[in-house]
Amino acid sequence: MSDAQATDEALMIRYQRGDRSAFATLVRRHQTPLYNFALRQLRTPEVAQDVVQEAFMRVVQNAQEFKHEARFTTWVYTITRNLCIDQMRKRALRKHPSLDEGRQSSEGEGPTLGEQTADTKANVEREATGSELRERITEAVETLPHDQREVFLMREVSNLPFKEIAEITGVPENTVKSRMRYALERLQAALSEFEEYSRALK
Amino acid sequence: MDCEKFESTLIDELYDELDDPTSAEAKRHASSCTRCGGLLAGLRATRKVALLPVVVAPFELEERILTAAREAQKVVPLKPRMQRAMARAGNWAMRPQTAMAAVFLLAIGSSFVFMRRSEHAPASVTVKAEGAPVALATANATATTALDTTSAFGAHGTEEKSDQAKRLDFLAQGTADTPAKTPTTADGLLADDLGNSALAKDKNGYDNRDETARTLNATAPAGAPPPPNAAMEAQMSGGGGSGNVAAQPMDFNAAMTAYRARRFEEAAKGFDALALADTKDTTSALWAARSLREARGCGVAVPRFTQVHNAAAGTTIGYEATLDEAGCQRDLGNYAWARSTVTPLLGVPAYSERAQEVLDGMAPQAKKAQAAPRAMSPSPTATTKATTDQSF
Repeated sequence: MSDAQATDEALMIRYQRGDRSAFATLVRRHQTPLYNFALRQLRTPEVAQDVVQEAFMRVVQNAQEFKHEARFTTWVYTITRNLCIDQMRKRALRKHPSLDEGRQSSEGEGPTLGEQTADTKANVEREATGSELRERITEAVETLPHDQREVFLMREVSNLPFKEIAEITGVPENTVKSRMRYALERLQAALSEFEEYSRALK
Repeated sequence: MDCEKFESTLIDELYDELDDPTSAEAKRHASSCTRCGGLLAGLRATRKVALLPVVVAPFELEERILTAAREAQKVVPLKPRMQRAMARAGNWAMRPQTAMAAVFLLAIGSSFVFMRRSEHAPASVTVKAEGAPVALATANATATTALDTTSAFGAHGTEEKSDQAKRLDFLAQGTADTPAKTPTTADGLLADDLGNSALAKDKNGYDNRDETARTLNATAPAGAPPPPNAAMEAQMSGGGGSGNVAAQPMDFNAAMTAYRARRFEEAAKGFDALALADTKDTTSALWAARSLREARGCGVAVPRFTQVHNAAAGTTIGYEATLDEAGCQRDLGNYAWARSTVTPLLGVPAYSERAQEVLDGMAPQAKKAQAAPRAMSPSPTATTKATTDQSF
């Protein structure tokens, strides 16, 4: 069985026995989903990269403690989620957020300050070119409450089953499903005015 | 399925996580219920539209992670390293070859330990009886303070001598001078008891006691304390020569030890000293006579045996002395005397057998003796006369 066909757990067992190529395969397989998960949470590419790198370092340091009965994705997403929460707490403690950081609002986390202060004329042009929906989707996701957003990201971006998301977040599976429904309803409200939504509805 | 149950399965139906019967039931309800059908269609359309663009991870991220992982693996934390080492050691130790090698090494090592122990073990244990330096020092101090050392040194010159040599010289001088002055000393008693011939022999022997002491001291290692017997002997000699010196009689056991060690002269002096100290101590007198017999022969011992025989007549000691006396007389060729001496013992049940043995031993020799003149030994009558005059 090649590395591409091997399960995450099999690759992890091989890495425990000293096969570094198995670890490289795991990195290639999961770095993009993890990076997107971290990026949608933290909104800063550099911080998201650091978080992903740190998550894999934790995997290296604790590789001997990994049991083959566990799922690798559950383990690595739990690590990444905790690192993201740490970063968000540090950010919340800062008095003067940087231009790359998201705006805190009573309704949730809005677009970055950099996006807000960018040339409004450029935004108008982008909308004119039909990319308004994508921007709106991104904005709508970013404005989701954190617990709903992380469930939405793990389900829609990382394609994790609800049971595993429940293990990662440490809440019951029904709670996860409820959060998912609330997130979808919020997005539905944000996207209902778009023609693409109407077409999809038909 | 009603609307309430449909709503509880809405998300599962949306993500195709329901089993087939439940999913079919949910679809039927959604098709028959406008509200539930619209709900499901709205969420499904949202999922279809709300596709977040996937941001590809930067190319350098993978390299960063792998580089950091390589660096992290260079410094493995202590705990995992120890666990890994323990696991390897355990796997290695569980091999049968390792167990066999351990047993082999244990056997070789233990035998080596035992061999080394036997090499260092002494071949035999020797217990040495050292002298009595305290008693000797006391005797030296007593002699030094009681006697006129100036005259003793003057007699032997001004040559510097050790304390031991000075003491021995002094004691020898005292022994030679004293008997005429102090007839109560051992030598004086011996001279009175045994007559002139016995005295001559005895005195010659006792005059040589300092020589004996010198010999004993000469055999001792340099710096070692003098042997207890030699010290005792010197003290006894000094006691015989000077009434001022406190004579300490040799212990009976020490004298017996000397006897058993075939140091008969030394034993004789020891027993004599004990007998002199206690005139009723016929046992010591008997053993003194036996020591003299072994040291100098029956000629010297017979008067002693006779003395004891008379002093302890009717006792075990007396019977023993009688047997020894008869044996000596027999050896000296005085068969008639021997016979007359031992015959009374035939009436003593405990000694009759031994007395008979003495008599039987004399039978063939007596016949030869009757044929030969009795010039070899003094007449029994003269000896008897000398003996009967003796008393302790």
